[in-house]
Amino acid sequence: MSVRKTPAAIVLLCVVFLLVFLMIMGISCGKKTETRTSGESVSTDDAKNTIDQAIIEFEAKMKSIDPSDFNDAPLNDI
Amino acid sequence: MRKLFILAALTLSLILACSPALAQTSSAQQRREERQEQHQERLRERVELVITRFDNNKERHIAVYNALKQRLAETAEKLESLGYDLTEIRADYQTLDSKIVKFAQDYAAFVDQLRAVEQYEQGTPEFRNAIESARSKLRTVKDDSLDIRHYWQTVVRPDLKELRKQEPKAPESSAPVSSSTGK
Repeated sequence: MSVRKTPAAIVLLCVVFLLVFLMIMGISCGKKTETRTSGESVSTDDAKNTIDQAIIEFEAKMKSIDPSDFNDAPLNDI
Repeated sequence: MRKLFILAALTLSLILACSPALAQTSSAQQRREERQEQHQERLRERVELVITRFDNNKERHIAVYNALKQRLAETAEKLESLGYDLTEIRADYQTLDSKIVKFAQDYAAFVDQLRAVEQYEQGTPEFRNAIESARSKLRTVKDDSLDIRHYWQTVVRPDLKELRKQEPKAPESSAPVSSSTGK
């Protein structure tokens, strides 16, 4: 009885593992990409990260300079 | 003959009496010229010092603006390859570029005007006018710098943020955003 049940249990276990694996893969892929009607997928997260990163860099660069660098006070020294 | 002798003696004594005074006048004139020359030299030095100070600031600003342009072009290229529409960003890039060119041109005009100050004597109306003109040109440079900052804050940044909401389309092979300016 138990000898007959063993292969069935193994098959069932494999099926369960496969389902779990597919679910995990599906969730992780779903987070990172969106599927288009054409079937082509694009990483929107990647694009958003690129935009955010660029904005942060621009802000930092802009903060490193100040229009008051061109105040006319030094002209009084002439 | 005697009269002639007396006249010559009188002339000679007059010359001898006046020569120290003449020499003194000539030396005073020379000293005045030397002082004037020293004033002009000091003025030139001060002008060059001010120009060097502003040049350093200008170089820092230009370096940041060029880095911004380059980063904007790189970002646009990447987003374009992911299928985003970058029409707005392309236009922003062109406008930003023209604003940076104007900044550099106005700065060059300011430096030219400041160098022109060197040719006038300090305290003269011409000198004061030249300084005022340089001051006015410097105000334009500062306004250009403010304009670039304002343009970034009110146009480029919102347009970039707007891209986040955009639905990307199928990627197309198109020219990079910087290709049209060549700067």
